[in-house]
Amino acid sequence: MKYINAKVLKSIWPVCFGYIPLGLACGVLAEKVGVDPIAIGVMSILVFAGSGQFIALAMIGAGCPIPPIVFTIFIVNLRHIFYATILNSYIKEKSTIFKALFAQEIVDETSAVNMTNFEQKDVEWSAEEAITSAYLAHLSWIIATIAGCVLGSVANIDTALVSYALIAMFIGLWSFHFWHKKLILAGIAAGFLALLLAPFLSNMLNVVVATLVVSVLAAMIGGELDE
Amino acid sequence: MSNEDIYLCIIGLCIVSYIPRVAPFLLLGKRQMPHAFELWLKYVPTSVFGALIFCSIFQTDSGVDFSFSNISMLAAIPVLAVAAKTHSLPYSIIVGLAAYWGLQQVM
Repeated sequence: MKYINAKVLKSIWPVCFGYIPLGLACGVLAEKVGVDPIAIGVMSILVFAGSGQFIALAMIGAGCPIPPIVFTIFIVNLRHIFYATILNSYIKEKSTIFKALFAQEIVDETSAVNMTNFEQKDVEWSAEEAITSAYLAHLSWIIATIAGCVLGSVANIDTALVSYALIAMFIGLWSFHFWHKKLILAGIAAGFLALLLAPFLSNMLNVVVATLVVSVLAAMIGGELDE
Repeated sequence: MSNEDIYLCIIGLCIVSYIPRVAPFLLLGKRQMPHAFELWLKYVPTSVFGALIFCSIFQTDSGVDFSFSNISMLAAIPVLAVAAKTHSLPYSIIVGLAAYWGLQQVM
């Protein structure tokens, strides 16, 4: 609590704010697919992955068995490995327990804020401030998803419209990789391959196979990503 | 899915979500990942999102739909433009919802 200062709040409020509509949409989706407010709260605490939770809920709603859901979310959340790799260099001297707790708070948004602040020479950004910022964002996410789930059962919400928040978020997350032409091309290639595979592989397995095939080929053919 | 299955699923999701988050902290400083593996990982997220987006916007109940009556596809155009320019998740979501809602009204 003692690390909740002006610097922390200034850095993290846009993330907390952004999580409100997103979390509400996620909670509403949870309610639609039969996940109750307690379960979505537990999921938001233990899984804490915006896109991962949306996809998992959509797959639960589609009647998908557990193993493909878990495998898909593993693939979707693989990107966190990059943030953890980068952030490790800033909190190297911290205890294993601190690192273990910090790891759970790694998502796109909290990592973006923390990496930016750690990198800035004129800003003093401690590991404690980093984890506190992430905790505030996580708290916002937990509350918003539970609220969405509760409201979803009383309010009449347009499922098609709400689901589009997920697609828009995918596009937003994809755009993080637009800094290199090769990455854009790999994404488009995976997109077309996934569509071609769709008639043969259900339950998002087409996405998994397209990802594995294209990412391996892209690394072999495309090779290094120069700035 | 039963409530028991939902909690089982959440535990599975928790484990597989935590592994990529914690692994670098445990492995780095002690061991360097093979370069080819790191290079492959760089291409994974863009491939996942490309695949997810294409399936979300072009796939309908009646198959693949590239026509101009596909609202999901049309609404993705302004989102893509805003995302490419701002790299902002909240802006992408707001524009996506507004565009989708607007198209629902006129089509």
